[in-house]
Amino acid sequence: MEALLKVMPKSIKTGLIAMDDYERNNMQEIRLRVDKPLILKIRAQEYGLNERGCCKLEQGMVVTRQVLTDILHYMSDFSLYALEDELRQGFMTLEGGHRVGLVGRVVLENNQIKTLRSISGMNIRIAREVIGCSVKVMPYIVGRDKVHHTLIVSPPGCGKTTLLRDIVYQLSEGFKGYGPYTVGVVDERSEIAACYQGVPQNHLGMRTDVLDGCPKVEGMRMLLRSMAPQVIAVDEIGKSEDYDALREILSAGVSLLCTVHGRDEEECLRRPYLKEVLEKGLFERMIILSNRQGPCTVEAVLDGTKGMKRLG
Amino acid sequence: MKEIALILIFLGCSLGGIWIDQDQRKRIKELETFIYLFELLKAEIDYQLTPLKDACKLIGERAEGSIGQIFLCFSEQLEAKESVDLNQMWLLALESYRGRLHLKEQDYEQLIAFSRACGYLDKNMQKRNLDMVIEKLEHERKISQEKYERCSKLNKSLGILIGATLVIFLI
Repeated sequence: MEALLKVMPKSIKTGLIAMDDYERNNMQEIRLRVDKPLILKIRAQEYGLNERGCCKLEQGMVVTRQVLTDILHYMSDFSLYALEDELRQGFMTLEGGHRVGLVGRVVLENNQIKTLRSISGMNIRIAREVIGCSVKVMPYIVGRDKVHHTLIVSPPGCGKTTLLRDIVYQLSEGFKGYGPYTVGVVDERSEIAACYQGVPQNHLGMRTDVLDGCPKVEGMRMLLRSMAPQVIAVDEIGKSEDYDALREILSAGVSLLCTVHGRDEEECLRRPYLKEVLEKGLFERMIILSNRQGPCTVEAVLDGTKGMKRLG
Repeated sequence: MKEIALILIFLGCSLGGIWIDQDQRKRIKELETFIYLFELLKAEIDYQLTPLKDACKLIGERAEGSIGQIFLCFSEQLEAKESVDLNQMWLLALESYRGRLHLKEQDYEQLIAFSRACGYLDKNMQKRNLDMVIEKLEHERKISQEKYERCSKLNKSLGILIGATLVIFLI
């Protein structure tokens, strides 16, 4: 919360400080849109904010363009040039791992997004780690002599990255006599480690090396060449070149942890590149997640080497 | 007693000449330091995309004396985020150490210009802004260097001559 307060102008800061502990600890999002009320999302409910703290939406403050500009300056440490890539991608990571999504007018150059200007909205997602959320699946991932190549499958917002992050942490610190392992993380979108100025804001364990903001394919090769990892973790594989790099890693004796969007194994098998990898049994474990009982609900753990036999 | 007074007058005038000479020399040195630090800042931004507060802290730590302190003071204000006005922060940093520097008003005008486009827009804009400031400071440095070379001996000898003239006149 401290980190968040640092980037807020006085008007919002006063309101956030005045909130009670319950509201503060359960806050999920802060949404700011020009000339619209500031919206706080607390336990899936929407509230407004005024100088006395959390309030009904209609009693809350309205966000002005100046407020958004000030927040952007604070977030960038008065150095917009340092966030060129982030602005191009429409998101940035704050100290503490909080993610900020941005919208505004897109500036194109040669049909490529050059930057965002006239920022008209922000969505600040409050980062919360769930340390220990992988404890149930860890026994399926760690083997006697190695970590199994594991694919985590779920639709968006079901906790793939949260689970991956905790698996990395458990492997790096050692889990019930297994490990510890040296883990390399290629964090293309700064979601796993939530690095702020190169320093991971989330707990990834003491034996974890993070390549932040690096494209997956190059990152996996760089880690393999330079950091001698026993396990490599990447988020959201999907492109054909990702699978080429995966095959390279899988044949290099390094264990692989990946996530992919999908509802279940059948949906994964409908994708040509992923189907090929799965049919060859390259992923020894497949963890299917859902949101049925909240994020990180484990629906199934499958054995990829035995025709997707259900393990748990 | 009279002899002591005469010696003091002679010494005072001579030292005055030397002081004027030193003042000009220090101004050139300070301009050179600013140019060097702005070059470093440009490299930090261009090569590493270092945020302004970190870049200013880094180069402030590398420079000795008041000029380094100016960059450190600016960096601290950026870190504190108590205002969104970069001009004001830079001005405050410059003003805090103004008494310890030997720069002239026109030098300050060029230095103040730095904050006008500082942190604004992209990397190229930052580079252009710094190039402009460096160019103007370099221009000032050249003029003062030429002036110094022309007047250095004159300042020192003029001090001694005035001292000697006064002493002779009083005797």
